[in-house]
Amino acid sequence: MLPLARGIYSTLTQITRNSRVSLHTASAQHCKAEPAAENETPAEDEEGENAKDSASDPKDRKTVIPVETSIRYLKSAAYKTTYGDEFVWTQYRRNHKGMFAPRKTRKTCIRQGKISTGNPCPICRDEYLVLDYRNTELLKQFISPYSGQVLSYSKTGLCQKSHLRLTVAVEQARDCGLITYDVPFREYDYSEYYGKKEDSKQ
Amino acid sequence: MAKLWLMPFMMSNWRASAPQLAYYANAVRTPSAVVFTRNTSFFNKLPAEDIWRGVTAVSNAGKKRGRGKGTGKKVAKDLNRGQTIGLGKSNCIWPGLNAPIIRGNELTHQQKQSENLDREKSIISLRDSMSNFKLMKLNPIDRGWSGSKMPGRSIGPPDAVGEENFNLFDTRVLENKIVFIMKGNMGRKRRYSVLSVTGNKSGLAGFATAKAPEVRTALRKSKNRAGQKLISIDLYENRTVNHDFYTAFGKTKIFVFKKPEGHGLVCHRAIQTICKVIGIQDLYAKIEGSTNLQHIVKAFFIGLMRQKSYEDIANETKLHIVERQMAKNGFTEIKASPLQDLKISENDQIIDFMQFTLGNKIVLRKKKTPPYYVNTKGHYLFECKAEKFRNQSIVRLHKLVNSYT
Amino acid sequence: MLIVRHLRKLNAPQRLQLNVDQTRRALSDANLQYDKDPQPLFTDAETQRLLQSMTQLQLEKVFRKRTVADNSTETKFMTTAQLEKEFLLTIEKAKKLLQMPPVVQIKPDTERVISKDPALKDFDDSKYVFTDISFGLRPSERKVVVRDVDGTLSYAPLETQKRMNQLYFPLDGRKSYTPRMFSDKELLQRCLDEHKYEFVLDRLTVQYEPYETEFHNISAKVFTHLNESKQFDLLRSTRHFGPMAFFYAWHRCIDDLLYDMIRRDYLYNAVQLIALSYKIHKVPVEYGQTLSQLEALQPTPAERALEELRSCLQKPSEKGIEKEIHAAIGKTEQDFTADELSLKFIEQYIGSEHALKKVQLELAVQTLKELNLEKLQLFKGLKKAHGVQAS
Repeated sequence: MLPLARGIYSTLTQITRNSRVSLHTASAQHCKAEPAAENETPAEDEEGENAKDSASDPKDRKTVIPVETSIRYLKSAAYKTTYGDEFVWTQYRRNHKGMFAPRKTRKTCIRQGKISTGNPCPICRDEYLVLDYRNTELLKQFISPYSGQVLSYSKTGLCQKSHLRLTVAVEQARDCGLITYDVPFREYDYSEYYGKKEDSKQ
Repeated sequence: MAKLWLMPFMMSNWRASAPQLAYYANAVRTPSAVVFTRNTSFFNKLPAEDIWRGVTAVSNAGKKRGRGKGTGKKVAKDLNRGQTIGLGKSNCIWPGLNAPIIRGNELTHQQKQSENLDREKSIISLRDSMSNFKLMKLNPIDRGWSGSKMPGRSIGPPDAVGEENFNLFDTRVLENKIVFIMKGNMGRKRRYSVLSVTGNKSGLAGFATAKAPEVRTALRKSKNRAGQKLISIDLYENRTVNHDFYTAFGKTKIFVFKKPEGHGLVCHRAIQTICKVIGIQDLYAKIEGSTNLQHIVKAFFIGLMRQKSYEDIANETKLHIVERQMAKNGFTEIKASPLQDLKISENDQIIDFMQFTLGNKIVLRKKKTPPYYVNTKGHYLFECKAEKFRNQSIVRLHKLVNSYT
Repeated sequence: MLIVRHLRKLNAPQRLQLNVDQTRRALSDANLQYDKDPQPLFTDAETQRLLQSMTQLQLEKVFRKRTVADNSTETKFMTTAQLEKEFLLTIEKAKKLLQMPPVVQIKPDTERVISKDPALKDFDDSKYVFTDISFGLRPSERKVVVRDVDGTLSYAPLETQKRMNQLYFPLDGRKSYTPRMFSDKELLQRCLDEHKYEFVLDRLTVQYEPYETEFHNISAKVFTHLNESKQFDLLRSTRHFGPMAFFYAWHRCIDDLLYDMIRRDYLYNAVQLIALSYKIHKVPVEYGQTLSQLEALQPTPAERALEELRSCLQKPSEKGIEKEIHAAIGKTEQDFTADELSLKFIEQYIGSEHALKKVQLELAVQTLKELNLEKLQLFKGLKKAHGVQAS
């Protein structure tokens, strides 16, 4: 056996042994897949120049992504490989000291056009997720199917700025009728509209 | 002279350093260029095992004094890995050693080939990869209850027994601790005790404790034992318990409450983990008394097993069981009807369903004490100042909503 | 034979053709308005009964799962007597939830001056609005007056009155501004194209008063769109079905709805719809007798729902073979006789000059007849096999 081949073989065995030793971690590879997928998306998009920029600095958030791109991204295969069938926030965990997380999340993840934190919130970490009232697929992920309200940031982990933008976008989408909700029941007092006719009816 | 040069070949650890070997090989070929050196050193006098022990282990005496806290981090490397006899720094063909003597009809000759630079690099990188064994980075979702500790973490499905395999199962560790027992000849004998629970997320689950001198074996043992002790549990709509119940084991008392969809698991972390494994999604549980983990697990499982179906309760009380759902505008749905009706007079009181299922137990509800500052002047002033901003967030939201981009 | 009949019908008098054209033009015109006050006809007891019966009462649709802040459940023990009471309450509640929004004329805004005080001219550079905010008054009773800059004191226009009411006594769900869904035509069109009819109408009832122009315009638009997309089942068993049927009957375009009803085997409803249309347009056809005959045979929606609720209580052993046969086929003997009656009436309508889509309706009736015949045969066969005496 040639030394090189043997070296490769031994590293391979090492890897498999490692993975056997390490405990059941299905999403370890998932983590790695995420940035890779994110780098993929610009290649698909029309803006080739932006792709170079973002590739050079993954923390740069100066380029504005149009909503249409985001809507397309949510339907793309890249999105599917990154998040699977889950919501964008399910795989996110906040980092914090001690047993309990602080009541509020951080004010913002992006400062001066750059990600200023190591663990940006689910919206800020993926620049192709744009909160806009037209992007209903994304907004629906943040609405509780039981109460119909926007999910709290303590559950989704959004930074305060993203959360405000989310609530505004959801309100706008409802205002435009893009997202339906259960309208409160209005009980009519017939006498107010029919008035005098009430007597003739009886 | 030649015999002296060949001496190191016979030493037990001659393979330990390949560059040296190559050097000797060169020396054999050109004996005239030999410079006299002293070839006995610390490295070739002792076997590799002994040398490695110097950095990886601490002597018994040292251990008693508390030396070598970081042992276990450093591992002995096998320097022979990735090396073959006859292949070295200078890429040479040695007939009979790394090449056949006769190739076809020709006799092969000793021959030097172009130098292989990658070889050295790959060997070094291989050795590096051996030494610093890195902990795998865990996804935050897969982390346990606390830090890098085992409790709360998943250890996969139990091993297959013959044909039966536990494909849909998932096991989670609940407790991992060191326990001691006294032995006649060994004194304090240390073992690891692991409590784990396994389940298929649709009402089949089991738990077991196992002890072993090694953590890994203890984990495996308890996982497999849990797989042997499966219990079938009745679930309501495949998401919560059938009804509220009270259960106890020892001094641990648990009140478990059935909850509507989307409520989540609001309970002790051990109960949370058990519920996830069983497939319960909505539940509230309050523990009173001792929070001994093994007792919690046992009490909870006993409670789950003692649940009654709605039909049984209806037949027992001879009353209909109905459920009123607020999400359906207060629509009442009949859940079970008795086989025969209860003849009841007007004055008779019908018992409360919760009272019935909790077995007349009442949850301890502590009175909430208001914070110390409530009646202070400073707080009063703060409230006065904050009052004019009470609607600010709503107004701001409305302004933002009405400014479409 | 059939084709010849169709042809004869297609060559109906010129008058009919004219009628068709008129209606088509009217339908394409989005703004169908009530040309006179529809309220007396709408509030008429018979009309109300017809509309309620057409709406039907499907419990699972009326009590569908909604998003509420507190979606808790309450489990209780109940005796059979209590359960009986609960059923009645449920039906009452369902009726309340199906309360139809009033259909009234557009209310014109008239200026009513209380007094003119020239002495107060230029007292300020803006108007003053005074609102009576005493508790318990009805919105229409609440007095809102405006002092103009030129010193005139007058009752506030309707719009101001509505805004002041909303300001002091907010109606849940109503916005103080016009939602973009209603102000932007494209967005409304998009909602309609996605068949969010119930949502749009629900929102309309909350946002506007029934006598406002917008209410009439938008609801007309929704109903017209619905008539084209033919998704009538989306509104069945909601509070908007009655006004919708009334709207179609008023504007002589019931045929699509009629076709849908026949196709879904709601023949009784179809008869009612035709009767309603006759009633509104004062067509001299005697429908009262057929209706009363059918009424005797068919239970009202409330009764039907009550029966459905009660059926949970019955044990399978008590039900008996007859009921089982009914459940399997979905019809009882009474239903078959009622079907016969209603089919006769419907065919009469199709034959008359009032039906516009004759071919389509004819076909639907024919298919239904064949289906019913098959069912009847099966029904009789089953009865015979089980030895049940024909009553």
